[in-house]
Amino acid sequence: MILKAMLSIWMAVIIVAAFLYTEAAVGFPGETSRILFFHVPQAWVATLSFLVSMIASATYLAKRNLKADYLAQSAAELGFLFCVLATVTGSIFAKATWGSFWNWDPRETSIVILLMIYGAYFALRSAVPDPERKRVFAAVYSILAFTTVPFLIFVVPRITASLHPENTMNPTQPGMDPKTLKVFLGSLLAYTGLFVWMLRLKMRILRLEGLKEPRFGDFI
Amino acid sequence: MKGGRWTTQTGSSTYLSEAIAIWLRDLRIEFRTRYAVNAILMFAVTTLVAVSFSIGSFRIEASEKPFLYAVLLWIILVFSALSGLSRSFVKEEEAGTMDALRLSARPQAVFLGKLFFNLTLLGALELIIVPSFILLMKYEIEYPGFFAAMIISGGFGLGAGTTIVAAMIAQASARGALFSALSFPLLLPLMITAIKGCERAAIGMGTAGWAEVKIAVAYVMIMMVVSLFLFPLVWEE
Amino acid sequence: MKEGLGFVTGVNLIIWFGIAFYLFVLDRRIKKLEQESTDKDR
Repeated sequence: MILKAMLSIWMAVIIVAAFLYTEAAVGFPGETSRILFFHVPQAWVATLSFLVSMIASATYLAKRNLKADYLAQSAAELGFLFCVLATVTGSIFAKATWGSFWNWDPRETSIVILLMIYGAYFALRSAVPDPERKRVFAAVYSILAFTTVPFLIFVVPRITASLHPENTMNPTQPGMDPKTLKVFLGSLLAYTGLFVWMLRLKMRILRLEGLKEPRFGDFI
Repeated sequence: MKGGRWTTQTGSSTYLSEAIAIWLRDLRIEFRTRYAVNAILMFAVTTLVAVSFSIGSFRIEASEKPFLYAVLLWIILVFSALSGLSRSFVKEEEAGTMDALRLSARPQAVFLGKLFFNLTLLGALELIIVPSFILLMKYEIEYPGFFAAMIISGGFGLGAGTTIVAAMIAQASARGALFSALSFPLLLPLMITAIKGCERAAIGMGTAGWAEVKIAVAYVMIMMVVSLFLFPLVWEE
Repeated sequence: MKEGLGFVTGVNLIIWFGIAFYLFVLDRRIKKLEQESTDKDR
């Protein structure tokens, strides 16, 4: 409880700091560079949840305990949510700086593939009636999908050069402005904390749903 | 299987002999019904005709040809494969022979047998579609050897990436649509590689050490090993 | 200090506290349901 309250305040501090404490990086139109504090942590959480989901899937296949499956499913759902958030925010930024909402930049490509994998994962889960088999299939698919990721790292950057700004948001200086770095790391922490909180909530909901038939409106 | 046709000298059947037995059985059944072959080839020929008829060989500028033709060719190949490869397992489920197959062979052998069968289908598909595509579209290729290697390794990749998915969707509802939805994200890295490779083979500015073929071969190897490990989990009752 | 940043900060804070409030409510509701289900088990 106390941790959750602290997280709420911490995220609020990050929001204030992101807009009022740091200065906008040079070389970007207007204040657009402030997207760094929200978009990048969202993408980070999306990647993290993909990893968590895959590890939980492997654990489920090895040990067959329900908790691992709940974790895999929750992480996948949150990963999907954060993927969408990162895609939408990134798309708005792309419109502001590069002039179009979508450019098939390597990272845009990989996030689309990630979205497709998540979509397939949920489609598979909903299409298998037998619960035990559903969990095994979902876990197997999750591992299969994860296996293809290294190929994307090899293959995708060859299509086009990246438009994403590299580590330095300010092209005139090496590295990141110290103020920016501080807030950015704080934001990563806040988003990771939020991810853990939401993940645990989702897992508890899944456990409850497993215990009994959920009533309509229980979780709305 | 003791004393059967596909036994080794020690008398016990090996994975490979079991797999070959399943492969030959599937080929025999396929030869009788021709369901999968018809589905895949008709899909492929229809798409090829549609592409060739609507684009023709003169509409695309010469400088654009290598890339656009590689894209068109691989779209035809991948989606034709997705239209029919799931048959290998779906037909067992529909005929109710899944359990008999579970009892008569070990999971890895079933996987290999079905993989061989899918690869045979893909081979037939490529043998018909690729030459027709080259002729109809006046596809000029600078490095035929590299191009052929790319087509073959890409075909192996299509088989290696989709066989285990076919086994899963055969045991699910809404099979047809699900197979494409599940397979496509897994095949995308392979498809991008193969398009790049075919483009390079057509352009004639060096083969870059056959890099794309190597990536495709690595893809085949890794997907096969991972599938062999995971298949028993999908297959067991 | 650019104009409008204060406004954007405010909007973001409202959105965030909305999300946090929702999560707290959800947390409470789940806790209640968890207690219910353990009561039933006994």
